[in-house]
Amino acid sequence: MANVPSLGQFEQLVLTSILSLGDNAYGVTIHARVEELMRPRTVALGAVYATLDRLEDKGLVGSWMSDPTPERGGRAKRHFRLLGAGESALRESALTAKRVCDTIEKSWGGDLWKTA
Amino acid sequence: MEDGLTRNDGARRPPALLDRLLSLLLPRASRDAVMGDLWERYRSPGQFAAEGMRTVPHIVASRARRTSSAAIIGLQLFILGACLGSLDPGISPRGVPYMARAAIPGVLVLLALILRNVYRGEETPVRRGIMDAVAAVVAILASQLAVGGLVWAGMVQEGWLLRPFSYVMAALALPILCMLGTVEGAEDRARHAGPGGVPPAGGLTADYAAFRRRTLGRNRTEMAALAVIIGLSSYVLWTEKPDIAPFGWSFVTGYILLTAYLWRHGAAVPAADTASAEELRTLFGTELTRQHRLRRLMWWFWFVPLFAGIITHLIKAGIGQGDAFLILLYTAAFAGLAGCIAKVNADRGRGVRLRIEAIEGPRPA
Repeated sequence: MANVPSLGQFEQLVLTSILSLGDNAYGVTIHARVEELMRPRTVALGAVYATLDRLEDKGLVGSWMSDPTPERGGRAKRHFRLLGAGESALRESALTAKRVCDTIEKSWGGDLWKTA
Repeated sequence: MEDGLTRNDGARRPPALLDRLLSLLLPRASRDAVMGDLWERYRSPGQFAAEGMRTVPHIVASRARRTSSAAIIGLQLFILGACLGSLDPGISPRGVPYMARAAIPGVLVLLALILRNVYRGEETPVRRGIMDAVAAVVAILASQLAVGGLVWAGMVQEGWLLRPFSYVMAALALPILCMLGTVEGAEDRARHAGPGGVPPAGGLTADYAAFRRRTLGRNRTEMAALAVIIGLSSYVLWTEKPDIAPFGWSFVTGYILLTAYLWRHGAAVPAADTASAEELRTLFGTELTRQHRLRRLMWWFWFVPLFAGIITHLIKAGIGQGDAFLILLYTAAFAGLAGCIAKVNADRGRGVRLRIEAIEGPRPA
């Protein structure tokens, strides 16, 4: 797994959002899903765009423009999808997160999942 | 509402003026998608303006990161600094350090070039280089107008203004800034290669013809840039007669020889009409490699006078006066300049290798 790029926490959230949204992943929906995942914290729309650009440069996601729609003032949507490298990176991050959770759970038991 | 969002259904529209203003602030490459998203999230003019203004800095910063290369910025900084006089460690007769005086126009030009990268639309590399040089001229003049205003208001002393001779020297930076502007970034290479590294529609013949046109344009620009440097350097050497004039004339002679070489061999050779696909593929690969070797060497040639200037200052001001700080400064400058050129060449080399692989197909391991 030496070639799988490591992901920051925000990158993991954005990739997870794209994965869960499927064909409907674009700026507005990705931002909403990231905010859901980060609740109660709020996220700037611009931070999501910047992360999407970075993920695209790393070759983890691909994007394409859809047709313009009237409710968007005749502007197109920039859709995103996970690429192979993105899926691998997300899987690796999820496995790491699971190992972290398992290790903490061993020490704290069920208390880990109780909210403060 | 499948995502639990409060979305605009299109009945409410942001005020046209606000929409236009935000559109202008957003870089072209992201404008359509981001403005569309902002329209979808529109609730009130205040929310639209606030969200838009919060989004713009992220988009600009991201675009600056994507379109600017640290190595190119480094080279721009070096050439601007050298031509505006910041290599000189001394203090002007009016009591202003040369390095500080050069920093104001230098930083402004750098900012202008980065912002130009952020906001420009699709441009050919040659046009991009020329427009970069124009932007540099405007930024230098704007900086001097601003400093002139401060001098007029009595807020700073006159020594902060560039001397008339500095303008001649600054003009020497323009051809190199122009050439730095023509460097193709990752976005250009992706466009030439087509999606997935596959040459664009039109086939190999059209692809090679487009490549040849680009090399012709670049070669002409390079020769014009060399001609400007030869003319300006000769003028400075002839009128100022500096101590280093013999070295200066040898550089001018070298640049004349380089121009003659580029005239003869600088552009890619045309493909024969009867060339088979295999022959064309081989020619394309050979020419890409040859062009890369030539341009790789050119980057070193462009900065030979700057290397010489740094070494001169290192010996005269650093070693000659036993100033440890200046020795360290000029050694770091020398290494930094060499590092930036090596990085530009390495990035270009990576792009060329990928391109050759896409044209020739994967090579056996």
